[in-house]
Amino acid sequence: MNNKLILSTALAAVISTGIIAPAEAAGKKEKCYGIAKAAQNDCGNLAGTHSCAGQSKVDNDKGEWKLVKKGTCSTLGGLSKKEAKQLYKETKGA
Amino acid sequence: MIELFENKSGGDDQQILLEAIWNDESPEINKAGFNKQGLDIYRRNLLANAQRALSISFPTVFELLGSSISKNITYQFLRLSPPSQGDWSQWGKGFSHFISTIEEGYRYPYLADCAAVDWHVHCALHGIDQSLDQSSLQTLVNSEPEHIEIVFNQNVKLLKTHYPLTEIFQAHHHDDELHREVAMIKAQKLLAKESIEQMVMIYRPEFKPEVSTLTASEGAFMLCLMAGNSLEQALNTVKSDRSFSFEQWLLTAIERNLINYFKEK
Amino acid sequence: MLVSNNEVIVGVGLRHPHFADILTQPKQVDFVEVHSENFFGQGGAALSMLTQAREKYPISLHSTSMGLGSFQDIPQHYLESLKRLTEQIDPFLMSEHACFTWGKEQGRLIHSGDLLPIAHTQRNLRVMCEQVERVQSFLGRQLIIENVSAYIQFAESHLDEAEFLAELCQRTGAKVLLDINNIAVNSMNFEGGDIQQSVSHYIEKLPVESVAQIHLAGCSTPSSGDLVIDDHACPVSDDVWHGYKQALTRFGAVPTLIEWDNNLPAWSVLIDEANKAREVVHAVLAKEI
Repeated sequence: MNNKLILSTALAAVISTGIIAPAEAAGKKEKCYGIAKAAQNDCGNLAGTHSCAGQSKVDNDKGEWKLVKKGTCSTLGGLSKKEAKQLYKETKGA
Repeated sequence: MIELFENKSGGDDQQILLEAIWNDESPEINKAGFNKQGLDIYRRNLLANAQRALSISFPTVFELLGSSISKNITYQFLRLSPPSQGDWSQWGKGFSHFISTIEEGYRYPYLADCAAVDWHVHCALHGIDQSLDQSSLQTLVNSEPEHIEIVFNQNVKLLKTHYPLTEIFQAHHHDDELHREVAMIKAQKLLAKESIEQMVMIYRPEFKPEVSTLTASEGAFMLCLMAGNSLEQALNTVKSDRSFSFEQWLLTAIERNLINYFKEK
Repeated sequence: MLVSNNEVIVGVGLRHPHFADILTQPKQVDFVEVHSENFFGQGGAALSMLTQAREKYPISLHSTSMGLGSFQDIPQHYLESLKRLTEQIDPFLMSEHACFTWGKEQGRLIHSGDLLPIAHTQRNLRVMCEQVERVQSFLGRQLIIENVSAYIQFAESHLDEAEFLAELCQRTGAKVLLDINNIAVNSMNFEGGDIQQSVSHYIEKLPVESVAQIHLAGCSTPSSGDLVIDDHACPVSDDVWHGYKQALTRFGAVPTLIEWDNNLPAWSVLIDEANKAREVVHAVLAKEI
């Protein structure tokens, strides 16, 4: 199949599947408020609080970002320092 | 005291406070006579704002490292690359590179690439709302393939990596817990392998950014188009791969909201 | 002063955990206020939420890092982001703080911190007037400038903050955003803690027509010997309610906002605080008339 034919066949498929029908797009509309992440400029108005000034009372903070005590790097099988250095060089060279 | 300060050149009072906040050992503190307790509030606030900002922009990195190391890294990055935007969410463009230069980046070589994925996801979340200009689809039949270009939505980013970034990302952020566990095991297995290559795509169907892995052909095809080449050229680069279907790619691309519009060169 | 207008406009600060409430609950307050910088993105979920909220509520845009008191110029990219947002949202109020943000470090312009205090000198007054005029003309909007909680004091300050703000407004046409809790915090930290007296001294230096908005908030009680921090983590205190009454008596029923940021309660609790403010206004006005 030549490229021109590939394109026209693909367009026909797009039209026949109804993937671009506006009604469906509206039905799929996500709820924006469930997706927005916590804001990053709210502390600016506080000039130092338990959560914002890090006055070591973080456990009282009901902020939404997760505070992980131990990193998951250990779960993922951290490399030895030697291996890590080797891999780092390869990556840098790529 | 008043005279002393008024005779200085403009802005010195601000510069002295800035120095005192940013440099813990600043000799300016005693000279200016600032209350140590008050000064510490501004220092802690700066670090806490910075840490909070980075933990939101780089959630994978922060979960990978854990909070104790993250605080130290935040402190270092803040000094090396202070914010200049006024909006904390725009701070962190150089964080991935910074990670590749520090000890943790050596120890966990995938960390810097995870930071790059986090950053693109974060930017996509706040990125411009774009969707397919459907009228431009006609270009596919009205023009010759060598004259057609595809303009992708700005939130679409491709990243070539040697690490299972999609799996690591899903292991931390997939909505379903079982899915997260499976992704974590997959990531462990792939990391144990000698070497892998992954083409990772970040995109935003509507509001929620997604991360997924492309096949080698899909990656090559998209990179060719993103470099400004024609559909003809892009199709030719994947001609030898019989499993690549433009029709399938196009349907998925529309579903994933990758394309902004088709244009004639 | 005899208050002529007994209808008060009361709003609450809109924060991320309440995004769903604002779009799904019936309208119960007159307006909401958001931090401008949180909506500097060109699109996405947060901006979509705000655009939808705008269909129901007038919006007040409260900025936190414009740094109007900075000796360094406010970066153009910052102002352009703010202008874009302003044009999109068409806020009924726009406010900032009497503080500085921008400074130089190793030759680079940096965002050196949030709500950093300034010395109240004639020189800083001139600087801030220039910045305010520049921003007002660039945005084509009037700015409302808020008094701040300051945790350090400058020996060279020879004006009170209230005198500084009064003069600033007179020269630039800007107005004052009077944060009662910030006066209370400074009073407790540096003025002996007679809040009623501190409020009284503060407001008498502000011309009656100069105040365009009032902020009410509450803050945690610190450990003994520590400075009080304006953390917006509690209900409005009795002292601040009293200060609010003092302010209403002088300035009339200006638009009032309940701010709450940490230990954020349910939306309904914020609404209750807003209704309490409304009751206070009615009580004060009834007495006046």
